[in-house]
Amino acid sequence: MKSWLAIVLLIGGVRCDGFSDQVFKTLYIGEGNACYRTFNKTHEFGCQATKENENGLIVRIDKQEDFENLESCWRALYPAFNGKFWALLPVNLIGRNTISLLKSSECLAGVILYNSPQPQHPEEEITSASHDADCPNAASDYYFQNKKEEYCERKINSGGSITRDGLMRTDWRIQMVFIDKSDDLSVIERCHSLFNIPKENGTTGYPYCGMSFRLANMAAGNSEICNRRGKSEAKLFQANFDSGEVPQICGAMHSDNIFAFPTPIPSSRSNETMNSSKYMMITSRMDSFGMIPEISVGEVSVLTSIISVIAAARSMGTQLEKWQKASNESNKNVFFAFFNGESLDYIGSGAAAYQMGKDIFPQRKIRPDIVRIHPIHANEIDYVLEVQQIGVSKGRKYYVHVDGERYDKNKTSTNKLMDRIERGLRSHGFDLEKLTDSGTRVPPASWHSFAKADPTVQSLLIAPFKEEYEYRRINSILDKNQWTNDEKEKAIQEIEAVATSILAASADYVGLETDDVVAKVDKALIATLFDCLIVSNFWFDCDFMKKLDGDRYHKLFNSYGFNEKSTYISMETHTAFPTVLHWLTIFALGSDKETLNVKSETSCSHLGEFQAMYTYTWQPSPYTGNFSCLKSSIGKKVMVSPAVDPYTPEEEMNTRYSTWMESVYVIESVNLYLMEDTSFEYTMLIIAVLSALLSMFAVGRCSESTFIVDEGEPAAEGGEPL
Amino acid sequence: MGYLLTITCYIASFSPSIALFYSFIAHDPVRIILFFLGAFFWLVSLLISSLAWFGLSSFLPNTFLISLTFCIIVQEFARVAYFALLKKAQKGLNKITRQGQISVAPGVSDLHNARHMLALVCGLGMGVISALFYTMNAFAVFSGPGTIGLPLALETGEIDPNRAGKYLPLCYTLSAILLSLFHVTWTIMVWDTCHKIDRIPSAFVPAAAALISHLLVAFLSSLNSRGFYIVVFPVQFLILLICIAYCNVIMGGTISSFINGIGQSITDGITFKGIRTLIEERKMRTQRQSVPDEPMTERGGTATEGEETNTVDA
Repeated sequence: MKSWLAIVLLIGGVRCDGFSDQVFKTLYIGEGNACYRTFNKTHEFGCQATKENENGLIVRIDKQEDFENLESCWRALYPAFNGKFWALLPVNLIGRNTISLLKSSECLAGVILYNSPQPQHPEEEITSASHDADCPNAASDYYFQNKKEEYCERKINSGGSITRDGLMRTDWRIQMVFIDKSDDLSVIERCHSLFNIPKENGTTGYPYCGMSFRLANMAAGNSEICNRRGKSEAKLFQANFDSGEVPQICGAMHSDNIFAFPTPIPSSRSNETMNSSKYMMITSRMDSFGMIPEISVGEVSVLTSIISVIAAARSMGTQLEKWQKASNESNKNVFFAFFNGESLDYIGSGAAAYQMGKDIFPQRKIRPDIVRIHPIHANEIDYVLEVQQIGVSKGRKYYVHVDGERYDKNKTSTNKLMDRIERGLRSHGFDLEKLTDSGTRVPPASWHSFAKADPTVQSLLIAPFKEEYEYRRINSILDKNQWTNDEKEKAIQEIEAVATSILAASADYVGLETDDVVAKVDKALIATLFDCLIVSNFWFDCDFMKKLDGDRYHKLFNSYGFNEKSTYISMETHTAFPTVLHWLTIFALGSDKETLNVKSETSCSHLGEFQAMYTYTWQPSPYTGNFSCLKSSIGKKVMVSPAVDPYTPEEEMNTRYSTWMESVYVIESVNLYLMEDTSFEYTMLIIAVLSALLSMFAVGRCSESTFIVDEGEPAAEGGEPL
Repeated sequence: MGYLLTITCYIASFSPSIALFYSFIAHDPVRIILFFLGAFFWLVSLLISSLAWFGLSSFLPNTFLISLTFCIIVQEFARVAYFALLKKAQKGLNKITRQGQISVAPGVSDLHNARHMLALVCGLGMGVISALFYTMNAFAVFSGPGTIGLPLALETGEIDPNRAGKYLPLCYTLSAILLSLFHVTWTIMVWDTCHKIDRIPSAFVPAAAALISHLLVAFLSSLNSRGFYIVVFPVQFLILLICIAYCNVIMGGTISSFINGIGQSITDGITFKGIRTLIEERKMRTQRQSVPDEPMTERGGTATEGEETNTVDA
């Protein structure tokens, strides 16, 4: 009994990692490079590590035909192996015809995704590469919520979607990890080629190259469960007695929305509401997603549209006095809104619409010593002018989408604005088709959030598609293109044309002479931004952005979104893009005319104290790199969907707003190792039994007298043997 | 690879040590203390060796052979130091262990003529800890999904069969068995020298034999990394056998008695003598129990009143 106890203690107590450097080749995987769990109110999606899908033999799927091996579980190649497999797979092979195989395979531990070495071009016809759904989301679309149509009655992405409900909304049994570093990828490929490629006679044998990876999520179920369990009172017994902190198991997706007001909003020192202004909101979404959310750059889903809006804002910023004068006279204003989380049921615009309903937009808290900005309400917004998917039009044609019913009620002014948009586009050689039938529905856009809040808000959505998306990689890992000079030039022309049309419509709205502004979009700026935001590998790689940065950006977080190009919203705001866009907006609309005498950051920040409307930012010029104090009325506001915001308990899990949440997860490194034949374990078991029997036999033949020998020494006999 | 392999490796590696511990140490608290003290002395020797290796490696390019030799010498010195410590402590120990009214710890084995038993106990402590240090990292690896060899293979482009492979657990196991038993024999040898060094001129021979065999075994082990497993292990086992035979001589036996003993053991093992003896003893016990007691009639029991008897009055 004692000896058994000793063995158990020995095995249980001795766990060392002393040899790990001789066993494992470790590849570090940062936050955001792997598939993890996300939730909406009713479901969980994404991936979770289990005991069954951690370890596996590495196999390659390089072409469509290789999926036949997946069906047969590679038994012909590895007959002696009966475990699971990690499939090394380029992202462009995830398609409609392969996804079901990946989902249903019983022998797959996971997939190791990497960017295909073959470049993708924006106009390349790739069948179904979008990770978005076929139809507008029933949980958030204005028409579904008002019972005006059935789910999927109207398809918008049927040509592009890989699965009907979208890959983002898939609950996977397997794990997924994305390898973005070429060095890491070559290590995996080398490991595979050394040990797992069949020999000339077609056979393979031990040892094999295996891989282990583990991403463990803290939460499960759905947002409702997660939200409930995440409350402090539910985690009383999990609290750390020293720090008082409770572990977080999931979190609401939240990030920054950016609002820029070129023309001042009416303000007063009293709390009385003045309903005297009208607004046109020029918007563009800031986010996209993919199956592994962070690794979607969203070039066409997000960036081209944003460049067009920034270009329009910059033109406006150079002639602010004209715009302000026109706004004051007409009592109509335009403002820019970049919403985050729009691809996940309109988190940003939903939160903004909620705040408008509560009189806290754009100013949340009122201090008595600060002038109160007149709150903007949804019914004061005449138009939501949004641009989407710029740069990939078929031919030279654009469409403007309006809501048919609302259009019918106010045709005159809307027609006038659409004419201006058309004129702006035509000035650059593009056509515009106006989709104004009474049954016309607005595709997924930020307008839906405001449409739900007020019945008069109208939509003007400028996009290169009619009923369904033409671009088949919206919200996808593959929305990352190799642009030829011709493609780039055409995209820049489209961005310029759309920026011009935005300016034209805005000018007409506020009553400014259109001719004064139409021709003033800075094409060179558009080309620069295209290079910096789309062609460059990271936001701050190009000279323009480096100067704009001025060493202010620090890679504080070890996450994909903070260190690589990503437009995913995420839950911890560990993404760089809101900061990038905020600085670009300040560059576009900020002015140092009134602050030329300010020579330090401290003085600049002092100017912003007690200001309601204006902010003062110490920021360098992207052209010269010289810092100056820029006055602007731009706000970067953290927005959380009211349905999951602990500060709005009355709206908890209200499906009028987004209910998306993310699980907190622990991500481990990828470990490559050699797998040996396990059959030798049984040989060792026999050896162990023989060793034990032989030891008992041999030692059993000895006794105390074997070792206690009377050598005739008196001292030894007396008890002092040495 | 998995936990089964790790468990079997531990069982196979430490079965001889566990058998010795169970038979000669586990029942005696003093011996348990001395066993762990032996392990401590070995650890101290390892610490000193490590410091020396650390120092040497800062100015010498290849310190393997020097460090190995130094490490072996330090281990042997540790054995001598342990002997010296015990020699100083034996009077006190004797008071504790002496049976009778003086003993403050009744139940412990007394120390009379226990020189070699103490060497066995202390040597086993050293052997077990050294075998544990040698194997535990490797055995921990065997419990995981992978085995040793990939990082090197990725660098060189091919797997080194002498440092990896499915027989690696067996090599570690055999080495652990050898290491733990060698330390027992080396301790017996070195302590014999320490005991007799003042009285007999040739007393240095056992210690020299221990040192030489220790160096030889270590050198042979270093050949394992070049793929000479099949030669190295039989040679090491032969050296172990020679060391055990020599210890037998030190303990008063002869080579022929040792050979006879081994031969007898093999014969007994093949003929299952132990099992036969057990069965015979059991049979005899059963027969002894089945012999009837004397009949009641011979005990002259009286019949009860009114009962007829077969006895006839004379």
